[in-house]
Amino acid sequence: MEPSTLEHASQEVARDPVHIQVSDLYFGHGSRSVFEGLDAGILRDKITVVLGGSGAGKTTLLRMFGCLLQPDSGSILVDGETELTQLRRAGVREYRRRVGMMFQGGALLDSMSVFENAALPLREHARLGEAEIEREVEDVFASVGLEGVEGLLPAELSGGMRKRAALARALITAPELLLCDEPFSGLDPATVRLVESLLLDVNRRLGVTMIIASHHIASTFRMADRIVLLVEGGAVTGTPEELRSQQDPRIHEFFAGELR
Amino acid sequence: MSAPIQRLGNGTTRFVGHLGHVASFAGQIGLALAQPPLRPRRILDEVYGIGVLSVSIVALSGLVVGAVLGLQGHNTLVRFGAEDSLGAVVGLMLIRELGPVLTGLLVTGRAGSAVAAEIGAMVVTEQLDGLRMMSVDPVDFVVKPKALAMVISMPLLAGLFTVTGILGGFLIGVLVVGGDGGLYLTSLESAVRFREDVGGSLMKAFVFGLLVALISTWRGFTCRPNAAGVSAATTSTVVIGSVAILIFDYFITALWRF
Amino acid sequence: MTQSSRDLVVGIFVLAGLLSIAYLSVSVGGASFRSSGGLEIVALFDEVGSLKPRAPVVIGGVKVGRVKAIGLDRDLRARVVLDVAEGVELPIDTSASILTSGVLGDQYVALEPGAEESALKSGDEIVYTQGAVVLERLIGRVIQNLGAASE
Repeated sequence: MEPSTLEHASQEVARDPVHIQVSDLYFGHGSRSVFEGLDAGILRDKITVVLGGSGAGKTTLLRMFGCLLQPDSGSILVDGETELTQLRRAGVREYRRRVGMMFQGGALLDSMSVFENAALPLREHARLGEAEIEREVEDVFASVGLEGVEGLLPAELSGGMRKRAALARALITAPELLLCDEPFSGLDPATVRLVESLLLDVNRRLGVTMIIASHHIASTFRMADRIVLLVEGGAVTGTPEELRSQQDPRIHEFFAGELR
Repeated sequence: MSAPIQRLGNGTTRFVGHLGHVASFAGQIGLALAQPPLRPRRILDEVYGIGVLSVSIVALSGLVVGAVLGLQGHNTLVRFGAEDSLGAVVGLMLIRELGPVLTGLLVTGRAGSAVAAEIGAMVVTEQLDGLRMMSVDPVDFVVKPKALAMVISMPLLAGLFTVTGILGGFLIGVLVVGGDGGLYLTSLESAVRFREDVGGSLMKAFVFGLLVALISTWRGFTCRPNAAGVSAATTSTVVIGSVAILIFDYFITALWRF
Repeated sequence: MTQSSRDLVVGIFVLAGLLSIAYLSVSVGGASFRSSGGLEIVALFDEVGSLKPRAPVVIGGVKVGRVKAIGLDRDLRARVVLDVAEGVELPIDTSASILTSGVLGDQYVALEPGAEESALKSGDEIVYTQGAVVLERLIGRVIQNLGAASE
């Protein structure tokens, strides 16, 4: 039938493989310049890892994707239509509805139980009854492998469980984009593997575009569909294989330095 | 030669800039107050943390200050043969000045610093950014309940301080120096006027509550995102809050005319 | 501490604070909820001494009102407006004097009811008045008398 074919066609056009396009980004911190003409493309529904040494700007870039920080100049275009650098308050709020962020320390509110933390987005924005909220929270907790700890405060959980609770909170609104700031930091190797498989599972199951800021090379090579390597104010983008086989000495230097 | 003058100009510019920043922050809080949700549960929890947990220090200090007033007052009044007016002296000093001012300083030190530290810690651990990413306004969620709780608690605590102070003076006046309890109370009641004295006292306590609410939340909110920043926010809250209370105390005293 | 016990404590705190304020306002400060209905009468005095507005007006030691305003009338006599509570019936020959409470205390207006049948109405004037005793003049008179007596 005509209408549904048209619909289908427009859907296909809308599903542009590039979810976010970063163009010519400039950002300086005091006298130090962090980004100088940075270009990068983030693919939809794929796991992109932003790699770089300390201070290279991984967290900075991630915060820009969340509109927590504005570049000095340049463009961050989402879905080919939303320019993040031009958004006003209402636009930012609208954009953030489709984004979830997992902060480095979890950033859970320490005065509330993890249940209340995960329920917060629903309580604030969704019109759900108490029973429905409870169900949603339990579902998302189950999907991250966190059961039986709902009533505990974040401080009463282990580091790994806190990360999972933070992930649960980020996922509860079913975002299209998930930003993870150093999800493996401070974890022992076994838990790192756990969080890795969790994130992979989330990506495969829910089809969420994931941008992970990390300096954990091993995990990166296991997880990433694409890597954005921040180097000298710019970025080199490619699949893990492409980057590993690159002739560019800066890239070699980075990997040689980080890999044992 | 011109360097100190330059510094003065620089400092003045920065000061005015700070004032502007505080004013706009106050505006944000005002806006948040005007919008739902009211968050009664959070306000209640904050009144517990700010008000209830300050009661012991306020009541104890009130009792002791009242006792000292009773003692000093008696020693002074005896020279004029006016010991029977002890109640009036203790009462007026507490109601007009010491009640609201000392309560203000105590609460700034105890609760004001705690509020600044709590909010500052939330900045450092990115909890406020976490709220922003969930499209929750940190001013509405975190600052508003704390500020409101401070404004509510301050007059209540000042009332408690004043009453325990009058009690302290009474105990000294009757038990220690052997005066007449009845005379204490009658001199108190005949000397104190509602509008000039009690009204002014409540106005001061309310204004001090507003000041500390604004200063403590602002310093916490704008603190540098590290441990040193939190520490600086806490100490500057106490310093700025205390000085502001004393300055506003003068102006309210001078302008409260009936 | 559970939620409900915390709520209870907060409630107690707020109640205690409000009661303190109420005690200070009403019992100590004398705030009242009555509107100032009642009588407004005028008394002219030669001397008001240190009488102030809001000073008490008493009958037999019982407070029945306040001094509302003090000014001068056309003949440059001191004109005191008294606010007397409702329900107090003052005969038209009531007298008013300005007394001092204690030796160094505040001054107030004492009314002594007369014997006439008809009562004062709002706006009426008290005819019999006794001005305030000014301490300095009293001392001056005592010294004069002592001087006269020793002659």
